[in-house]
Amino acid sequence: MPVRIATADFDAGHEIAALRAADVRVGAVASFIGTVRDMNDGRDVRSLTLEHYPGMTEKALTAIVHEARERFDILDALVIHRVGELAPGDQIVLVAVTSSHRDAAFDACRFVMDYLKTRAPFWKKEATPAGAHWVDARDSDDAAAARWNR
Amino acid sequence: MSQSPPVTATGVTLELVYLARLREAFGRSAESLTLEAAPGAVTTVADVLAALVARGGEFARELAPGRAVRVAVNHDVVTAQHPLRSGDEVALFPPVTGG
Repeated sequence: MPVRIATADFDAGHEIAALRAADVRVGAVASFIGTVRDMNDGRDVRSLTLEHYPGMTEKALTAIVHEARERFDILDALVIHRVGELAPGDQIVLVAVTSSHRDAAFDACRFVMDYLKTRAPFWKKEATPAGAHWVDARDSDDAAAARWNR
Repeated sequence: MSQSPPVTATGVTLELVYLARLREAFGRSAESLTLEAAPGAVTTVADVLAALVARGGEFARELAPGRAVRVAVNHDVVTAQHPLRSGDEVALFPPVTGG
């Protein structure tokens, strides 16, 4: 499936190998992995909990992948996003894109991440020594998504 | 042929869903809300927000003008003018922070 929500960790190498093997026309693979940082805004992060909106999450991610296919000459795209409690260093999200040539793969991978950051219904809550708090959305993410406006 | 009963139900019943920080602020993850509307009038997302603000407390605080709240109806993000029908799922949530 091109879009997956999971609590368990993913093996990026395994996932990318599967994408490549599925299509002989693949000449380029671009990918991104987002991981949990141990510091945010100067605070120690003990754990990060990802919440999502069941029912909308897969729909939103599928729509983003669909739009990537429309905009860029790619062969396939995969998004895996974890939810639940994660520790510093843990993997959060994988985006992988295949195409014949590299321009489309690079652009589509960036596009999917920029849209995921601003449109996919996930929310992060950090646990720090001072207590737990919800992470604020960043203006820079909105600016990044706006770059793709047509 | 018998006449159909006069239409008396002008209420729109919605399933509200609250996510992330809003769920914590409101103290509940979901609730049913029925809004009465004048016959022929369309109930919109703005009407739902106004009804919630009218409760005061955390609802008034979190949904005050200028507060960043997103609304999705049946899993699609919409604006305040979006029209609603009975049975719609209306979700309120903060700006997303995935990835």
